[in-house]
Amino acid sequence: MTRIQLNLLLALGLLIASAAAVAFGEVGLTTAQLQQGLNDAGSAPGEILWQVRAPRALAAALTGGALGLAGAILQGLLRNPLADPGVLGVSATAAFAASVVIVAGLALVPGAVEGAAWLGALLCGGALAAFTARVREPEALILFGIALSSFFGAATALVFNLSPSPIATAEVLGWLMGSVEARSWADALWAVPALALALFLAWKAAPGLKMLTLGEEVAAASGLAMGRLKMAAVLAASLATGAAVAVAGVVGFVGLAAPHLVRRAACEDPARLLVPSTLAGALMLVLADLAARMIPTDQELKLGVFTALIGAPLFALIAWKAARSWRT
Amino acid sequence: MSLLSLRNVHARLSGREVVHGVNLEVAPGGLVALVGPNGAGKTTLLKAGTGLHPISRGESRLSGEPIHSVDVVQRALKLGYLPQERRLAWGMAAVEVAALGAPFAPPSVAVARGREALELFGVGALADTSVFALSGGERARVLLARLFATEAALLVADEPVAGLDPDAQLLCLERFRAHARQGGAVLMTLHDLSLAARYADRVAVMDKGRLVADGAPVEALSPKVLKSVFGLKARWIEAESQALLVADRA
Repeated sequence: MTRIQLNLLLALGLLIASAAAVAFGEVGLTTAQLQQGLNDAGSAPGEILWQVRAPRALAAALTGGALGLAGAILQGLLRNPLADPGVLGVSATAAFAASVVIVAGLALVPGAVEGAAWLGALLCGGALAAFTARVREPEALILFGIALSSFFGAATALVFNLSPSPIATAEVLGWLMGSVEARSWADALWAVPALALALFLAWKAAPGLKMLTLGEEVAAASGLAMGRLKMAAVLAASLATGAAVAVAGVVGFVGLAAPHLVRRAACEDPARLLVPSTLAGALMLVLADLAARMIPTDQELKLGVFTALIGAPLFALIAWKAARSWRT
Repeated sequence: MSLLSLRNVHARLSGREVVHGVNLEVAPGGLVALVGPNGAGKTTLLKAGTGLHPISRGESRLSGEPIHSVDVVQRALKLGYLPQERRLAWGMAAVEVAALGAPFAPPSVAVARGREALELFGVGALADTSVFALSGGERARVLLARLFATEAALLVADEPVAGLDPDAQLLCLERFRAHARQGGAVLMTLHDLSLAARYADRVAVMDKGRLVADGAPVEALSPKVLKSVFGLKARWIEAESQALLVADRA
Protein backbone atom coordinates (compact mmCIF):
# COMPACT_ATOMS: atom_id res chain seq x y z
CA MET A 1 0.00 0.00 0.00
CA THR A 2 1.41 3.42 -0.95
CA ARG A 3 1.61 6.28 1.51
CA ILE A 4 -1.26 8.12 -0.21
CA GLN A 5 -3.48 5.02 -0.29
CA LEU A 6 -2.90 4.44 3.42
CA ASN A 7 -3.72 8.03 4.32
CA LEU A 8 -6.82 8.03 2.11
CA LEU A 9 -8.03 4.78 3.66
CA LEU A 10 -7.59 6.13 7.19
CA ALA A 11 -9.22 9.45 6.26
CA LEU A 12 -12.17 7.55 4.82
CA GLY A 13 -12.43 5.46 8.00
CA LEU A 14 -12.34 8.64 10.08
CA LEU A 15 -15.07 10.19 7.95
CA ILE A 16 -17.31 7.14 8.35
CA ALA A 17 -16.62 6.91 12.11
CA SER A 18 -17.36 10.64 12.50
CA ALA A 19 -20.62 10.26 10.58
CA ALA A 20 -21.55 7.37 12.88
CA ALA A 21 -20.60 9.44 15.94
CA VAL A 22 -22.97 12.17 14.77
CA ALA A 23 -25.78 9.78 13.79
CA PHE A 24 -25.78 7.56 16.88
CA GLY A 25 -26.00 8.42 20.55
CA GLU A 26 -27.97 8.05 23.74
CA VAL A 27 -30.99 9.68 22.14
CA GLY A 28 -32.11 7.44 19.29
CA LEU A 29 -33.07 9.38 16.16
CA THR A 30 -35.20 8.00 13.35
CA THR A 31 -34.12 8.40 9.73
CA ALA A 32 -36.69 11.15 9.31
CA GLN A 33 -35.37 12.98 12.38
CA LEU A 34 -31.81 12.61 11.12
CA GLN A 35 -32.86 14.09 7.79
CA GLN A 36 -34.63 16.92 9.58
CA GLY A 37 -31.57 17.54 11.74
CA LEU A 38 -29.27 17.61 8.73
CA ASN A 39 -31.53 20.03 6.85
CA ASP A 40 -32.50 22.28 9.74
CA ALA A 41 -29.80 22.96 12.33
CA GLY A 42 -32.29 24.91 14.47
CA SER A 43 -34.69 21.97 14.93
CA ALA A 44 -34.55 19.72 18.00
CA PRO A 45 -32.75 16.89 16.13
CA GLY A 46 -30.54 19.56 14.51
CA GLU A 47 -29.52 20.84 17.94
CA ILE A 48 -28.52 17.29 18.95
CA LEU A 49 -26.56 16.69 15.76
CA TRP A 50 -24.83 20.05 15.37
CA GLN A 51 -24.52 21.41 18.90
CA VAL A 52 -23.91 18.19 20.87
CA ARG A 53 -22.65 15.29 18.78
CA ALA A 54 -20.68 16.99 15.97
CA PRO A 55 -18.49 19.20 18.19
CA ARG A 56 -17.98 16.24 20.50
CA ALA A 57 -16.86 14.06 17.58
CA LEU A 58 -14.58 16.84 16.39
CA ALA A 59 -13.09 17.18 19.89
CA ALA A 60 -12.47 13.42 20.00
CA ALA A 61 -10.90 13.43 16.53
CA LEU A 62 -8.61 16.37 17.31
CA THR A 63 -7.60 14.93 20.69
CA GLY A 64 -6.93 11.48 19.23
CA GLY A 65 -5.08 12.97 16.25
CA ALA A 66 -2.88 15.08 18.51
CA LEU A 67 -2.06 12.10 20.73
CA GLY A 68 -1.41 9.82 17.73
CA LEU A 69 0.97 12.41 16.29
CA ALA A 70 2.75 12.95 19.63
CA GLY A 71 3.16 9.19 20.08
CA ALA A 72 4.64 8.71 16.60
CA ILE A 73 7.07 11.59 17.12
CA LEU A 74 8.22 10.38 20.53
CA GLN A 75 8.65 6.75 19.51
CA GLY A 76 10.81 7.88 16.57
CA LEU A 77 12.76 10.39 18.63
CA LEU A 78 13.44 8.02 21.51
CA ARG A 79 13.86 4.97 19.24
CA ASN A 80 11.51 3.22 21.58
CA PRO A 81 8.26 1.42 20.68
CA LEU A 82 6.96 1.88 24.23
CA ALA A 83 7.21 5.68 24.30
CA ASP A 84 4.01 7.73 24.49
CA PRO A 85 3.08 11.34 25.33
CA GLY A 86 2.93 10.51 29.03
CA VAL A 87 6.55 9.40 29.11
CA LEU A 88 8.08 12.88 28.91
CA GLY A 89 5.83 14.39 31.55
CA VAL A 90 3.97 16.76 29.21
CA SER A 91 0.54 15.29 30.07
CA ALA A 92 1.33 15.38 33.80
CA THR A 93 2.49 19.01 33.68
CA ALA A 94 -0.54 20.12 31.66
CA ALA A 95 -2.89 18.23 33.99
CA PHE A 96 -1.27 19.82 37.03
CA ALA A 97 -1.67 23.34 35.61
CA ALA A 98 -5.34 22.66 34.78
CA SER A 99 -5.92 21.22 38.27
CA VAL A 100 -4.55 24.35 39.94
CA VAL A 101 -6.90 26.55 37.91
CA ILE A 102 -9.91 24.36 38.73
CA VAL A 103 -9.14 24.28 42.46
CA ALA A 104 -8.59 28.06 42.41
CA GLY A 105 -12.22 28.37 41.33
CA LEU A 106 -11.44 29.67 37.84
CA ALA A 107 -12.98 26.75 35.94
CA LEU A 108 -15.89 28.88 34.77
CA VAL A 109 -13.65 31.59 33.30
CA PRO A 110 -13.73 30.90 29.54
CA GLY A 111 -10.49 29.36 28.35
CA ALA A 112 -8.84 29.38 31.80
CA VAL A 113 -8.51 25.60 32.18
CA GLU A 114 -7.53 25.10 28.54
CA GLY A 115 -5.05 27.99 28.71
CA ALA A 116 -3.50 26.59 31.88
CA ALA A 117 -3.14 23.13 30.32
CA TRP A 118 -1.49 24.75 27.33
CA LEU A 119 0.86 26.80 29.42
CA GLY A 120 1.84 23.72 31.45
CA ALA A 121 2.50 21.70 28.30
CA LEU A 122 4.52 24.47 26.70
CA LEU A 123 6.62 25.07 29.81
CA CYS A 124 7.35 21.36 29.99
CA GLY A 125 8.08 21.29 26.24
CA GLY A 126 10.46 24.24 26.68
CA ALA A 127 12.30 22.47 29.51
CA LEU A 128 12.54 19.29 27.42
CA ALA A 129 13.75 21.22 24.36
CA ALA A 130 16.44 22.94 26.45
CA PHE A 131 17.47 19.56 27.84
CA THR A 132 17.55 18.03 24.34
CA ALA A 133 19.90 20.79 23.19
CA ARG A 134 22.44 19.76 25.84
CA VAL A 135 22.13 15.97 25.95
CA ARG A 136 22.31 13.54 23.03
CA GLU A 137 21.29 10.23 24.61
CA PRO A 138 17.56 9.39 24.37
CA GLU A 139 17.77 7.50 27.68
CA ALA A 140 18.70 10.75 29.45
CA LEU A 141 15.68 12.50 27.93
CA ILE A 142 13.41 9.64 29.04
CA LEU A 143 14.78 9.84 32.60
CA PHE A 144 14.33 13.62 32.66
CA GLY A 145 10.76 13.16 31.39
CA ILE A 146 10.01 10.50 34.00
CA ALA A 147 11.32 12.86 36.69
CA LEU A 148 9.02 15.64 35.41
CA SER A 149 6.09 13.24 35.17
CA SER A 150 6.60 11.95 38.71
CA PHE A 151 7.05 15.42 40.15
CA PHE A 152 3.93 16.89 38.54
CA GLY A 153 1.95 13.73 39.31
CA ALA A 154 2.85 14.25 42.97
CA ALA A 155 2.08 17.98 42.68
CA THR A 156 -1.38 17.15 41.30
CA ALA A 157 -1.94 14.78 44.24
CA LEU A 158 -0.94 17.67 46.50
CA VAL A 159 -3.57 19.85 44.82
CA PHE A 160 -6.14 17.16 45.70
CA ASN A 161 -4.77 16.98 49.20
CA LEU A 162 -5.04 20.73 49.81
CA SER A 163 -8.24 21.31 47.84
CA PRO A 164 -10.71 23.21 50.06
CA SER A 165 -13.80 22.03 48.22
CA PRO A 166 -15.02 18.51 47.41
CA ILE A 167 -16.73 19.91 44.30
CA ALA A 168 -13.43 21.26 42.98
CA THR A 169 -11.79 17.93 43.82
CA ALA A 170 -14.46 16.08 41.83
CA GLU A 171 -13.97 18.48 38.91
CA VAL A 172 -10.22 17.87 38.92
CA LEU A 173 -10.82 14.14 39.07
CA GLY A 174 -13.19 14.40 36.10
CA TRP A 175 -10.54 16.31 34.18
CA LEU A 176 -7.88 13.76 34.98
CA MET A 177 -10.08 10.91 33.77
CA GLY A 178 -10.36 12.53 30.33
CA SER A 179 -13.58 13.23 28.46
CA VAL A 180 -14.99 15.07 25.48
CA GLU A 181 -18.47 15.20 26.98
CA ALA A 182 -20.34 18.48 26.45
CA ARG A 183 -17.56 20.04 24.36
CA SER A 184 -18.63 22.96 22.17
CA TRP A 185 -17.24 23.95 18.78
CA ALA A 186 -15.16 26.61 20.54
CA ASP A 187 -13.75 24.03 22.98
CA ALA A 188 -12.75 21.71 20.13
CA LEU A 189 -11.29 24.43 17.94
CA TRP A 190 -8.73 25.25 20.66
CA ALA A 191 -6.70 22.33 19.36
CA VAL A 192 -6.64 23.26 15.66
CA PRO A 193 -3.81 25.83 15.55
CA ALA A 194 -1.65 23.78 17.92
CA LEU A 195 -2.17 20.60 15.94
CA ALA A 196 -1.43 22.42 12.69
CA LEU A 197 1.80 23.86 14.12
CA ALA A 198 2.74 20.48 15.61
CA LEU A 199 2.22 18.81 12.20
CA PHE A 200 4.40 21.45 10.56
CA LEU A 201 7.20 20.99 13.11
CA ALA A 202 6.89 17.20 12.84
CA TRP A 203 7.18 17.46 9.06
CA LYS A 204 10.38 19.51 9.49
CA ALA A 205 11.75 16.96 12.01
CA ALA A 206 10.81 13.89 9.92
CA PRO A 207 14.21 13.36 8.19
CA GLY A 208 15.89 13.40 11.60
CA LEU A 209 13.43 10.86 13.01
CA LYS A 210 14.14 8.57 10.05
CA MET A 211 17.91 8.94 10.40
CA LEU A 212 17.71 8.11 14.12
CA THR A 213 16.76 4.56 13.06
CA LEU A 214 20.51 4.05 12.65
CA GLY A 215 21.36 5.41 16.09
CA GLU A 216 22.59 8.65 17.58
CA GLU A 217 26.14 8.44 16.21
CA VAL A 218 25.22 7.86 12.59
CA ALA A 219 22.56 10.57 12.86
CA ALA A 220 25.14 12.97 14.29
CA ALA A 221 27.53 12.18 11.41
CA SER A 222 24.81 12.30 8.73
CA GLY A 223 25.06 16.03 8.09
CA LEU A 224 21.48 16.66 9.24
CA ALA A 225 21.14 19.41 11.86
CA MET A 226 20.10 16.85 14.47
CA GLY A 227 20.04 19.26 17.41
CA ARG A 228 17.53 21.51 15.65
CA LEU A 229 15.48 18.60 14.31
CA LYS A 230 15.25 16.93 17.72
CA MET A 231 14.20 20.20 19.32
CA ALA A 232 11.49 20.61 16.66
CA ALA A 233 10.32 17.07 17.41
CA VAL A 234 10.13 17.70 21.17
CA LEU A 235 8.22 20.96 20.65
CA ALA A 236 5.83 19.30 18.18
CA ALA A 237 5.10 16.47 20.61
CA SER A 238 4.60 18.95 23.49
CA LEU A 239 2.28 21.17 21.44
CA ALA A 240 0.20 18.21 20.32
CA THR A 241 -0.03 16.74 23.82
CA GLY A 242 -0.89 20.15 25.28
CA ALA A 243 -3.64 20.53 22.70
CA ALA A 244 -5.06 17.11 23.58
CA VAL A 245 -5.01 17.77 27.34
CA ALA A 246 -6.53 21.24 26.85
CA VAL A 247 -9.50 19.78 24.96
CA ALA A 248 -10.11 16.51 26.77
CA GLY A 249 -7.97 16.20 29.89
CA VAL A 250 -5.72 13.20 30.29
CA VAL A 251 -6.45 10.40 27.80
CA GLY A 252 -4.00 7.54 27.93
CA PHE A 253 -2.82 4.83 25.53
CA VAL A 254 -3.93 6.45 22.24
CA GLY A 255 -0.45 7.93 21.82
CA LEU A 256 1.10 4.55 22.46
CA ALA A 257 -1.25 2.44 20.37
CA ALA A 258 -1.95 4.59 17.30
CA PRO A 259 1.61 4.42 15.85
CA HIS A 260 1.66 0.65 16.32
CA LEU A 261 -1.63 0.18 14.49
CA VAL A 262 -0.19 1.70 11.30
CA ARG A 263 3.54 1.05 11.69
CA ARG A 264 3.67 -1.95 9.38
CA ALA A 265 1.47 -0.30 6.76
CA ALA A 266 3.84 2.70 6.88
CA CYS A 267 6.79 0.35 6.17
CA GLU A 268 8.16 0.95 9.70
CA ASP A 269 9.44 4.33 8.51
CA PRO A 270 9.22 6.85 11.41
CA ALA A 271 8.87 9.75 8.96
CA ARG A 272 6.16 8.07 6.88
CA LEU A 273 4.32 7.14 10.09
CA LEU A 274 3.47 10.68 11.24
CA VAL A 275 0.32 11.39 9.23
CA PRO A 276 -1.14 7.85 9.39
CA SER A 277 -0.60 7.79 13.15
CA THR A 278 -2.41 11.14 13.46
CA LEU A 279 -5.34 9.80 11.46
CA ALA A 280 -5.34 6.47 13.32
CA GLY A 281 -5.36 8.28 16.69
CA ALA A 282 -8.30 10.41 15.55
CA LEU A 283 -10.16 7.34 14.29
CA MET A 284 -9.49 5.41 17.51
CA LEU A 285 -10.75 8.16 19.78
CA VAL A 286 -13.88 8.91 17.73
CA LEU A 287 -14.75 5.19 17.88
CA ALA A 288 -13.83 4.94 21.58
CA ASP A 289 -16.02 7.94 22.41
CA LEU A 290 -18.89 6.49 20.38
CA ALA A 291 -18.51 3.20 22.27
CA ALA A 292 -18.31 5.00 25.62
CA ARG A 293 -21.59 6.77 24.78
CA MET A 294 -23.36 3.70 23.48
CA ILE A 295 -22.46 1.26 26.26
CA PRO A 296 -25.48 1.37 28.58
CA THR A 297 -24.29 2.43 32.05
CA ASP A 298 -25.88 4.62 34.75
CA GLN A 299 -23.13 7.17 34.34
CA GLU A 300 -21.39 7.70 31.02
CA LEU A 301 -17.98 6.03 30.85
CA LYS A 302 -15.11 8.51 30.93
CA LEU A 303 -13.12 8.43 27.71
CA GLY A 304 -9.75 8.22 29.48
CA VAL A 305 -10.97 5.28 31.54
CA PHE A 306 -12.33 3.51 28.48
CA THR A 307 -9.13 3.97 26.42
CA ALA A 308 -7.02 2.82 29.38
CA LEU A 309 -9.14 -0.32 29.79
CA ILE A 310 -8.72 -1.16 26.11
CA GLY A 311 -5.16 0.16 25.94
CA ALA A 312 -3.62 -1.69 28.87
CA PRO A 313 -3.94 -5.17 27.34
CA LEU A 314 -2.70 -3.73 24.04
CA PHE A 315 0.31 -2.27 25.86
CA ALA A 316 1.07 -5.70 27.32
CA LEU A 317 0.85 -7.24 23.85
CA ILE A 318 3.18 -4.59 22.40
CA ALA A 319 5.67 -5.07 25.24
CA TRP A 320 5.60 -8.82 24.71
CA LYS A 321 6.17 -8.47 20.95
CA ALA A 322 8.91 -5.89 21.49
CA ALA A 323 10.66 -8.14 24.00
CA ARG A 324 10.53 -10.94 21.43
CA SER A 325 12.17 -8.76 18.77
CA TRP A 326 14.89 -7.69 21.25
CA ARG A 327 15.71 -11.33 21.85
CA THR A 328 16.34 -12.02 18.13
CA MET B 1 47.01 16.63 1.36
CA SER B 2 45.73 14.06 3.86
CA LEU B 3 41.99 13.47 3.92
CA LEU B 4 42.19 13.01 7.67
CA SER B 5 44.95 14.27 9.86
CA LEU B 6 45.05 13.63 13.61
CA ARG B 7 47.59 15.75 15.45
CA ASN B 8 48.50 15.06 19.04
CA VAL B 9 44.91 13.98 19.76
CA HIS B 10 43.96 13.43 23.40
CA ALA B 11 40.46 12.27 24.36
CA ARG B 12 38.70 11.43 27.61
CA LEU B 13 35.96 8.93 28.39
CA SER B 14 33.96 9.42 31.61
CA GLY B 15 36.65 11.74 32.96
CA ARG B 16 39.55 9.34 32.24
CA GLU B 17 42.00 10.08 29.42
CA VAL B 18 41.92 7.07 27.09
CA VAL B 19 43.70 8.52 24.06
CA HIS B 20 47.10 10.09 24.67
CA GLY B 21 48.58 12.31 21.96
CA VAL B 22 47.93 10.27 18.81
CA ASN B 23 49.23 11.43 15.42
CA LEU B 24 47.79 9.70 12.35
CA GLU B 25 47.49 10.62 8.67
CA VAL B 26 45.07 9.09 6.18
CA ALA B 27 45.97 10.10 2.64
CA PRO B 28 43.95 9.57 -0.56
CA GLY B 29 44.48 6.03 -1.83
CA GLY B 30 45.21 4.74 1.67
CA LEU B 31 43.63 1.78 3.40
CA VAL B 32 44.65 2.12 7.04
CA ALA B 33 43.88 -0.54 9.64
CA LEU B 34 43.88 0.51 13.28
CA VAL B 35 44.52 -2.50 15.50
CA GLY B 36 45.02 -3.01 19.21
CA PRO B 37 43.73 -4.99 22.15
CA ASN B 38 40.32 -4.36 23.75
CA GLY B 39 40.32 -1.05 25.62
CA ALA B 40 43.25 0.35 23.65
CA GLY B 41 41.21 3.46 22.69
CA LYS B 42 40.60 2.65 19.02
CA THR B 43 36.88 3.46 18.98
CA THR B 44 37.34 6.65 21.01
CA LEU B 45 40.09 7.73 18.61
CA LEU B 46 37.85 7.13 15.58
CA LYS B 47 35.02 9.09 17.18
CA ALA B 48 37.31 11.92 18.24
CA GLY B 49 38.89 12.02 14.79
CA THR B 50 35.50 12.22 13.07
CA GLY B 51 34.14 14.93 15.37
CA LEU B 52 31.73 12.66 17.22
CA HIS B 53 33.62 12.80 20.51
CA PRO B 54 35.31 15.82 22.10
CA ILE B 55 39.06 16.18 21.67
CA SER B 56 40.50 17.37 24.96
CA ARG B 57 43.83 18.42 23.38
CA GLY B 58 45.25 18.40 19.86
CA GLU B 59 43.18 18.56 16.68
CA SER B 60 41.65 16.61 13.83
CA ARG B 61 41.67 18.03 10.31
CA LEU B 62 39.43 16.94 7.47
CA SER B 63 40.98 17.81 4.08
CA GLY B 64 43.15 20.36 5.88
CA GLU B 65 40.37 22.11 7.81
CA PRO B 66 39.82 21.71 11.55
CA ILE B 67 36.98 19.17 11.70
CA HIS B 68 34.80 21.22 14.06
CA SER B 69 34.86 24.21 11.73
CA VAL B 70 33.74 22.15 8.73
CA ASP B 71 30.05 22.64 7.96
CA VAL B 72 28.15 19.50 9.03
CA VAL B 73 26.76 18.92 5.54
CA GLN B 74 30.20 19.25 3.95
CA ARG B 75 31.60 16.95 6.60
CA ALA B 76 28.98 14.31 5.84
CA LEU B 77 29.66 14.59 2.11
CA LYS B 78 33.38 14.05 2.67
CA LEU B 79 33.30 11.51 5.49
CA GLY B 80 31.17 8.40 5.91
CA TYR B 81 31.08 6.72 9.32
CA LEU B 82 30.14 3.16 10.31
CA PRO B 83 29.88 2.71 14.09
CA GLN B 84 30.49 -0.49 16.02
CA GLU B 85 26.89 -0.42 17.31
CA ARG B 86 24.66 -2.19 14.77
CA ARG B 87 21.25 -1.99 16.45
CA LEU B 88 18.47 -0.69 14.24
CA ALA B 89 15.41 0.84 15.84
CA TRP B 90 12.83 0.00 13.18
CA GLY B 91 12.40 -2.74 10.60
CA MET B 92 12.51 -0.63 7.46
CA ALA B 93 13.29 -2.25 4.10
CA ALA B 94 17.00 -2.86 3.51
CA VAL B 95 17.04 -0.45 0.57
CA GLU B 96 15.49 2.32 2.71
CA VAL B 97 18.22 1.80 5.31
CA ALA B 98 20.97 1.84 2.68
CA ALA B 99 19.44 4.97 1.13
CA LEU B 100 19.92 6.80 4.44
CA GLY B 101 23.53 7.15 3.32
CA ALA B 102 22.38 9.86 0.93
CA PRO B 103 20.06 12.13 2.95
CA PHE B 104 20.67 15.17 0.74
CA ALA B 105 20.00 13.42 -2.56
CA PRO B 106 16.49 13.43 -4.08
CA PRO B 107 14.61 10.34 -2.75
CA SER B 108 14.73 8.44 -6.06
CA VAL B 109 18.49 9.04 -6.37
CA ALA B 110 19.06 7.99 -2.74
CA VAL B 111 17.13 4.75 -3.29
CA ALA B 112 19.07 4.05 -6.51
CA ARG B 113 22.35 4.59 -4.64
CA GLY B 114 21.15 2.37 -1.81
CA ARG B 115 20.18 -0.39 -4.25
CA GLU B 116 23.52 -0.18 -6.05
CA ALA B 117 25.41 -0.35 -2.74
CA LEU B 118 23.39 -3.39 -1.64
CA GLU B 119 24.43 -5.11 -4.89
CA LEU B 120 28.06 -4.31 -4.07
CA PHE B 121 27.74 -6.29 -0.85
CA GLY B 122 25.81 -9.18 -2.34
CA VAL B 123 22.45 -8.40 -0.72
CA GLY B 124 20.71 -6.76 -3.67
CA ALA B 125 18.07 -9.50 -3.69
CA LEU B 126 17.10 -8.53 -0.12
CA ALA B 127 16.52 -4.86 -0.97
CA ASP B 128 12.81 -4.92 -0.19
CA THR B 129 13.06 -7.15 2.88
CA SER B 130 12.63 -5.69 6.36
CA VAL B 131 15.98 -5.50 8.15
CA PHE B 132 14.33 -7.25 11.12
CA ALA B 133 13.84 -10.28 8.90
CA LEU B 134 17.55 -10.46 8.04
CA SER B 135 20.31 -12.36 9.81
CA GLY B 136 22.95 -10.44 11.77
CA GLY B 137 25.46 -10.85 8.94
CA GLU B 138 22.98 -9.67 6.32
CA ARG B 139 22.15 -6.63 8.44
CA ALA B 140 25.87 -5.89 8.74
CA ARG B 141 26.11 -5.95 4.93
CA VAL B 142 23.14 -3.58 4.65
CA LEU B 143 24.89 -1.16 7.01
CA LEU B 144 28.08 -1.42 4.95
CA ALA B 145 25.94 -0.61 1.91
CA ARG B 146 24.62 2.46 3.78
CA LEU B 147 28.25 3.52 4.34
CA PHE B 148 29.07 3.16 0.64
CA ALA B 149 25.87 4.98 -0.37
CA THR B 150 27.32 8.11 1.24
CA GLU B 151 29.79 8.21 -1.69
CA ALA B 152 32.14 10.05 0.69
CA ALA B 153 35.83 10.04 -0.17
CA LEU B 154 36.87 9.07 3.34
CA LEU B 155 35.22 6.03 4.92
CA VAL B 156 35.76 5.48 8.64
CA ALA B 157 34.56 2.09 9.86
CA ASP B 158 34.64 0.63 13.35
CA GLU B 159 34.91 -3.16 13.15
CA PRO B 160 33.43 -3.39 9.63
CA VAL B 161 33.87 -7.16 9.35
CA ALA B 162 32.37 -8.01 12.76
CA GLY B 163 29.54 -10.54 12.34
CA LEU B 164 30.36 -11.31 8.70
CA ASP B 165 31.09 -14.80 7.38
CA PRO B 166 34.59 -15.37 5.91
CA ASP B 167 33.49 -14.76 2.33
CA ALA B 168 31.71 -11.54 3.30
CA GLN B 169 34.75 -10.38 5.29
CA LEU B 170 36.94 -10.74 2.22
CA LEU B 171 34.28 -9.09 0.03
CA CYS B 172 34.06 -6.16 2.46
CA LEU B 173 37.82 -5.63 2.52
CA GLU B 174 38.02 -5.94 -1.27
CA ARG B 175 35.36 -3.22 -1.57
CA PHE B 176 37.35 -1.02 0.79
CA ARG B 177 40.54 -1.65 -1.21
CA ALA B 178 38.73 -0.80 -4.46
CA HIS B 179 37.41 2.41 -2.86
CA ALA B 180 40.96 3.40 -1.89
CA ARG B 181 42.33 2.51 -5.35
CA GLN B 182 39.74 4.84 -6.87
CA GLY B 183 41.19 7.79 -4.96
CA GLY B 184 39.23 7.50 -1.73
CA ALA B 185 40.61 6.46 1.64
CA VAL B 186 39.59 4.13 4.44
CA LEU B 187 40.37 4.13 8.13
CA MET B 188 39.06 1.03 9.89
CA THR B 189 39.53 -0.82 13.13
CA LEU B 190 40.12 -4.56 12.86
CA HIS B 191 40.69 -7.33 15.34
CA ASP B 192 41.80 -9.89 12.78
CA LEU B 193 45.53 -9.20 12.40
CA SER B 194 45.85 -11.55 9.41
CA LEU B 195 43.22 -9.60 7.51
CA ALA B 196 44.85 -6.31 8.51
CA ALA B 197 48.21 -7.63 7.32
CA ARG B 198 46.76 -8.86 4.04
CA TYR B 199 44.55 -5.94 3.01
CA ALA B 200 45.81 -2.75 4.63
CA ASP B 201 48.42 -0.51 3.05
CA ARG B 202 49.28 0.71 6.48
CA VAL B 203 48.66 -0.60 9.96
CA ALA B 204 48.55 1.59 13.06
CA VAL B 205 48.89 -0.28 16.34
CA MET B 206 47.35 1.22 19.48
CA ASP B 207 48.06 0.16 23.02
CA LYS B 208 46.82 1.83 26.21
CA GLY B 209 45.73 4.94 24.31
CA ARG B 210 49.01 5.46 22.45
CA LEU B 211 50.09 4.71 18.92
CA VAL B 212 53.00 2.30 19.30
CA ALA B 213 53.57 1.46 15.64
CA ASP B 214 52.50 2.95 12.31
CA GLY B 215 53.72 1.72 8.94
CA ALA B 216 53.55 -1.00 6.35
CA PRO B 217 52.00 -4.19 7.77
CA VAL B 218 55.30 -6.09 7.84
CA GLU B 219 56.90 -3.29 9.91
CA ALA B 220 53.99 -2.32 12.16
CA LEU B 221 53.01 -5.91 12.93
CA SER B 222 56.54 -7.02 13.74
CA PRO B 223 56.98 -9.97 16.12
CA LYS B 224 58.36 -7.55 18.72
CA VAL B 225 55.30 -5.24 18.58
CA LEU B 226 52.86 -8.15 18.62
CA LYS B 227 54.61 -9.66 21.61
CA SER B 228 54.57 -6.44 23.63
CA VAL B 229 51.05 -5.29 22.67
CA PHE B 230 49.09 -8.53 22.35
CA GLY B 231 51.39 -10.98 24.12
CA LEU B 232 51.45 -13.06 20.90
CA LYS B 233 54.25 -15.12 19.43
CA ALA B 234 54.10 -14.18 15.75
CA ARG B 235 56.06 -14.67 12.57
CA TRP B 236 55.72 -13.74 8.94
CA ILE B 237 55.81 -16.50 6.33
CA GLU B 238 55.90 -16.43 2.54
CA ALA B 239 53.16 -18.36 0.75
CA GLU B 240 52.14 -18.01 -2.87
CA SER B 241 54.30 -14.88 -3.09
CA GLN B 242 52.38 -13.21 -0.26
CA ALA B 243 53.67 -12.35 3.22
CA LEU B 244 51.30 -13.92 5.72
CA LEU B 245 51.18 -13.36 9.45
CA VAL B 246 50.97 -16.40 11.70
CA ALA B 247 50.39 -15.83 15.41
CA ASP B 248 50.13 -18.06 18.46
CA ARG B 249 49.59 -17.38 22.13
CA ALA B 250 52.95 -16.84 23.75
